[in-house]
Amino acid sequence: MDKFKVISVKESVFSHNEKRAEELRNFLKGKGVYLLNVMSSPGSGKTTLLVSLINKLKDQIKIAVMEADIDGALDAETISEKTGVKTIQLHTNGACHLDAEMTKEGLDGLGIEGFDLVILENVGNLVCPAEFDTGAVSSLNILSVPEGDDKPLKYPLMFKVCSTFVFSKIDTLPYFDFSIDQAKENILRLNSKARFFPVSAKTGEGIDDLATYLLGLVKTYKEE
Amino acid sequence: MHEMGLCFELMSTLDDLLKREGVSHITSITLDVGEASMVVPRFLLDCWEAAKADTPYKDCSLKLNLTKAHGRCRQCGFVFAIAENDRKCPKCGSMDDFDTIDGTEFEISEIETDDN
Repeated sequence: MDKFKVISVKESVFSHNEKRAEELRNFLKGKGVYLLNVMSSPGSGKTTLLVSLINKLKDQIKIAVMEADIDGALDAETISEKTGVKTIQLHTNGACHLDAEMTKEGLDGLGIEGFDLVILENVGNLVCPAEFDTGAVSSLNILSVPEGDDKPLKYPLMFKVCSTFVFSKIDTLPYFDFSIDQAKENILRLNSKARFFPVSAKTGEGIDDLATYLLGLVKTYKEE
Repeated sequence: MHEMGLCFELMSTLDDLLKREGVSHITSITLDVGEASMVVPRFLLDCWEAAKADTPYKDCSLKLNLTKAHGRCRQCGFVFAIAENDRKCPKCGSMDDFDTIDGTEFEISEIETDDN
């Protein structure tokens, strides 16, 4: 008998996480809870946008928030203070992303019974969070005007895995060379089903359209 | 670092795989790593050495089988190797205007065991 035996595998390195993510999606479906994974680079205005959005939606559906950061509890405190919804802060202790197991632990810590929508604010990063399926029902990306409309060309995977795209800080459009049409074109090349929402959390522009759209997603999901 | 997270995920996937195959000890793993997979081979190899310490994979070596990424030109349809041509279609000269058709894989190709 040979000393070594070779076993052919041909399996994704991510298959452990992908299985956990699928289990979590089935679990959430059974509970009727829509988990929305929000991803972007640091400083795109995720927390500010969530505050505006939650305040529009909280009288119509029951919302909770999971904040994932490497350290600190600032974002959870801000959300809790300005919206009053149930919030939990997760620390990744140095990891640059959240995987499905960490997401499940966070949901267990939060307690999801009775909630319609749980928003996961992932670690601000355009690389690793895109590779690790969290088990969310869908993912939303925020691209802020100061970052530039070329980000989809530089971080293609992030713009492939999300389905809803928010262009934030549009009140600053006069000061930057950001073209909404160019950003849309760059994303549509990677992702033909993308939906776009230009917003400004500061002036409130576009927030109603985004809120209505998310409400529709949650309602459809619960009726299915 | 991005590649460190990938090493930990690789070990979790290996745990599942070994259980399923009934294998107790592996001596090497070969991964297929595409040029467009966003994985830096050199970083991955360095991280593996650090990540595997104090784990059941501590004497398991990592081999990488690097594969080329190809793109189909959106202007003329020509298929070409992306890196070799510096992202420019060699047929019509279009720059950065292609759909990536392969080279994004990050897969376990095979494992080697010394189990009897």
